[in-house]
Amino acid sequence: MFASILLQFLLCLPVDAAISPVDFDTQVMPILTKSGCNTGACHGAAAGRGGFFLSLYGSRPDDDYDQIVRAMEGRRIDAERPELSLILQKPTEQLSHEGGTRIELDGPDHQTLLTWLNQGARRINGRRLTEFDFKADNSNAEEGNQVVQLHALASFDDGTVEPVVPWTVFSANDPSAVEISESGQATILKAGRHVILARYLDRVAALELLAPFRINQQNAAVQNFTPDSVDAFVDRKIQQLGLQSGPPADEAPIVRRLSLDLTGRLPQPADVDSFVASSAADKTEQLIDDLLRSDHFVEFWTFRLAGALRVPGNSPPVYYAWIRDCLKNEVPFDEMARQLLLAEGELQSNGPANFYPAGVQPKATAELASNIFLGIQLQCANCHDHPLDQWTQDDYHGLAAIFATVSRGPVVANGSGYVIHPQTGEAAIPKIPGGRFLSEDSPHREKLADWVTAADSPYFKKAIVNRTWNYLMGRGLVEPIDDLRSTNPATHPELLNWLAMDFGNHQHSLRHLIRTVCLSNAYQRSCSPPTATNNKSTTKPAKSETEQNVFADGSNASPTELAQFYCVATAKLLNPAVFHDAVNDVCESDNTPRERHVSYAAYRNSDFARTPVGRCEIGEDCSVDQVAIKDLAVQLAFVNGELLNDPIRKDGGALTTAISSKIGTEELVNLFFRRAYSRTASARELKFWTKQFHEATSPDESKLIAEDFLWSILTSNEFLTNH
Amino acid sequence: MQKRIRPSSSIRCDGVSRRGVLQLGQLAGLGIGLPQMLAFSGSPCPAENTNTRQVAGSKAKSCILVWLDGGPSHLETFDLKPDASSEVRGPLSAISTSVAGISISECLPQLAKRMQDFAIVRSMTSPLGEHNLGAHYMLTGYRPTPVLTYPSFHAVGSQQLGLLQTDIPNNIAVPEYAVGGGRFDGAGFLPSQYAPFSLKADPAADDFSVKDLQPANGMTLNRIERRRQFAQQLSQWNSAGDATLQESSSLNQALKMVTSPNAVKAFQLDDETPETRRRYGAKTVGQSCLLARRLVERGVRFVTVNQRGWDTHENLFTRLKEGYTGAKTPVGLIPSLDLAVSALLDDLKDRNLLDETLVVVMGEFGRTPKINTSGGRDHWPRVFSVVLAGGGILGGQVIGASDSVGESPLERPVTPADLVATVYTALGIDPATIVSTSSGRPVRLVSDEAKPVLELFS
Repeated sequence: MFASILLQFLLCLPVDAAISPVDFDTQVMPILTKSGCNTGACHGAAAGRGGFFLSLYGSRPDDDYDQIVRAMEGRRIDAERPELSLILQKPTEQLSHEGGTRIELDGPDHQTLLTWLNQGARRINGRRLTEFDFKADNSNAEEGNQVVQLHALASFDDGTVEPVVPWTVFSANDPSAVEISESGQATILKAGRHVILARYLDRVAALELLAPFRINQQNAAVQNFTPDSVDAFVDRKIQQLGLQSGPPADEAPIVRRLSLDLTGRLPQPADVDSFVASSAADKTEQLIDDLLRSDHFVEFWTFRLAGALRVPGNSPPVYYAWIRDCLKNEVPFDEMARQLLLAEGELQSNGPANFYPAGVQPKATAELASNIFLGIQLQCANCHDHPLDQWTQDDYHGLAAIFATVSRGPVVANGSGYVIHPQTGEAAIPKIPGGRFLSEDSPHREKLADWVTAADSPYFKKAIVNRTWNYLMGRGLVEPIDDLRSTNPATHPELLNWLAMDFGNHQHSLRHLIRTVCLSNAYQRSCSPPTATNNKSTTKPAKSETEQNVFADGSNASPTELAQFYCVATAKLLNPAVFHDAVNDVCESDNTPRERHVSYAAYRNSDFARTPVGRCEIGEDCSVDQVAIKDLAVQLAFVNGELLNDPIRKDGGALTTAISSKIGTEELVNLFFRRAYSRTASARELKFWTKQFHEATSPDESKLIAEDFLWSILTSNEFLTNH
Repeated sequence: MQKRIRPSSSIRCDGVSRRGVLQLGQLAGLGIGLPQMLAFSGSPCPAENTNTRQVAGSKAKSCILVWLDGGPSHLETFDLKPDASSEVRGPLSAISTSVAGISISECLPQLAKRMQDFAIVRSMTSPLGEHNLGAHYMLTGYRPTPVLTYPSFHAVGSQQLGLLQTDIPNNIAVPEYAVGGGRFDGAGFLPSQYAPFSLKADPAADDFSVKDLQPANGMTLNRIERRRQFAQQLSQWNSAGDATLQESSSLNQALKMVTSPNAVKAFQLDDETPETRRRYGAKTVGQSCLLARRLVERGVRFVTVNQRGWDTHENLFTRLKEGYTGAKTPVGLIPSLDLAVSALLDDLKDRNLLDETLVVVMGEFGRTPKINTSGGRDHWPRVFSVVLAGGGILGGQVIGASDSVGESPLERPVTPADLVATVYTALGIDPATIVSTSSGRPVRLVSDEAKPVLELFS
């Protein structure tokens, strides 16, 4: 039938046939994508729409051609009168179409489709897209230059290169900040960093537009750029955006910040004093190295890593112990990944074998592995190809198939399991994500582990770096931290690349990575904004949208933006376990042995996970990393629960001991300021507290005021955050 | 018949009228943003003022959302396909209802008797088939974007409508607010004081109580007030630098609750007769609906009842109907929902509260038309059903329809944005209202493409 259609057109439409042939894959398909025909909400859904099935965003042109030309006995095209073909009449709404008018009648796209139909609706082995290049004529908007022309160039394997803006779908991640016209003109309405996505055929590309808040006269950091440190990259971006970095933090807060970040513990007041007193030029570096060498570092980062690896609370102790040993002995991260991926043996005796717990499906292991080791959201490719990334269903089920070759109980690589690929209904072929299918007899997990940890792997190092950066800086270079993809670019892509390379060049050492970040000025900055004065009101009034539109005139960035570009440090809420330990460290008298919440015992104790500040359900990801202080249930616990009241009032605790030793008010206030805040009280604070304490009419009353004083310290932001 | 209990004579509202919100753009130019405006919220004002913002003709003052977390199967609940092939039809049959021509699931016999009291929308449609994304769209009316988390309609409503009472939080979630994967806190870009108070306690448990609500040993009103003053002083001095952490509203609310006998009383389910408690069903969803009724009676505006477990990728029959394999009396998700919602509707009606209480029953999406190999159904946002009752909704009707296999909307497609616009309309909130983010960005409550489903209203 197909041949006869062809013949008819060749006979009766010689004029159209003489025009250069319209290529289905690269000229018809882009029209369908641009017009929205193959989105998930329309014919691109797994179940099609109205009986018409297209692949999501045109990922499978073979199937789409079949649907348009052959399916339903070819009723979607009219051989006799091409202009009456359903494929034309529906999107132009000459016939009723649920999706409305998608293609303008007699417009250029309509003409292209008609020409293609007139030429016989053929799909010859035409050209293929080899490269999609997306750029703007000036991605650093200069003063007054708020309109940027976007360019989309498609290169094909026949050597042609064409501008394809009309068939490219553009979208800004913040539509209120950037407007994009049909012709690809982007009008920037707001200063800041904006990301634009462009979709053409099956490719998606992202572009960053920087619109400075202020034009800097001195671009020294940009001009003398040497990519050899965290600060080089961070400072360049601050310059490009016309922002200013804030001052460095004072010495005492730096000790508190490093101690909490690296060991999950408040510093001892005496240690803060000796740090401040020291005149050594490299004392910060010394402190970082001391903390990294400490047992507390191993204990805290084991706790964190176990959460990131979703180690179940009820898993055999050897799993947690294995993580601890790896950190203690500086086992390189790539080696740890290999041991997990290639684990075999009994769960009770072999730590990493617990990466394959009994009863867990291969698909779940594939999702966990891709999330941890690659930092990606592969589960999106379970039911359809990932719409914003390269991942296909073959990748998802191929990776699951690799894990299916392991039998569980004792973990044995016996190669017998399989998973069903939903498209074929047959066993999925093991496949390296984004790479090759694996032959039947190869040791699949070895190949996978090699690929994950390969020196040139684009994912593994970045995933670890981004996660670690998030722990230390309070936000990921990529957010969410486990959604690395080309269409979700990092705020500082070159920095992420450089840190990943540096991490790889230093034996994938976590300590080296942490040290590198902590030594940067970006890490050591104060949380206060650059313009902050010592006045009471340091918060700037919010700027209205319209005001911010007139950018490059000195208008201010929001606090979020200042933090996002590391002009200021981010105050991080404490981890729930760290919070519990910190409360005890403030409230217990010296030398009292205390139960640690950053510990294996607490990790596996589900009661702890369900305290008000660290609530999570069994079976969920329990790596809650911040105390939810805005949560009313947490505030109730603060006010009324035993959570704070018991440690505050404890017999023999620091407060009762201090009171019974009859120390002076100033001494008492500073005792707890030093413990909780790592600083002494200011004159203003001392005055306030002295006045409160003096209001007591009896020793009993005085004790209650002291309790309420300590309570207000423990519920203050200064205590609850690492800043 | 009981009247709505108004426990406090000095009724407050948030003092920000809709017109006031619309004027924020100008105020922002003077350096006054939303947070400062909200800080004015303490001033007492007459209760009538809380209604001046309501769109004329709207009836609902409160809203109970029964959230079916995980995505309920429309094909087993409110949109059965008895004539479809067995792989589509599934294991449950349809029964007729009190309204001729409408049939629903055999597991909903109580609701079937009350079909005249509620409406079904069978043509909900969304493109988002992932829990977090779908829930965000259903609850906010906006598809999620990387730059902005939108507020849920209960947070918006809580802000826009203000308080009917002052002791109990205005927006409460029972047993907890972990919806659609739990990444969403409900407040979005609004100040966190509008986020739901997540009880984190199961009303069906024998020892149910809101943790730490009763004043602790040794605490007196004087001391609580002193703590409040101390906390306020420290908050003003806060040197941690992050302005977003400086809100003490949740602390203030906690202190208010602790000192209020009314708040404590509201959560005492033991006050209800055993017969009443039985009518709602022994499951969490039942006792949560009973608590929701008690809260709405006391003037709480928004209650979310979160029934978890609807993500039925496998063993649909057991999970939806039986509850456990071989159960003689079905106690699965649907029978539990049936008891809970029907008792809720009865009680609201008895108390003359149904007209002013909008009840919405929904989840983040529906389930696939074909049963999968594990005897379950997977995510399906293309078409699904929601139920609405009370608050001026005309019961006994079905809006829209899905096709013969429950795969696509056949007529009258309704988007989540349309649904949220409908909820706002029922509550008397103009969907075109503009609110402001903390950075001063103006945002319409729903996009101008969203249209309320007006035929739902009587």
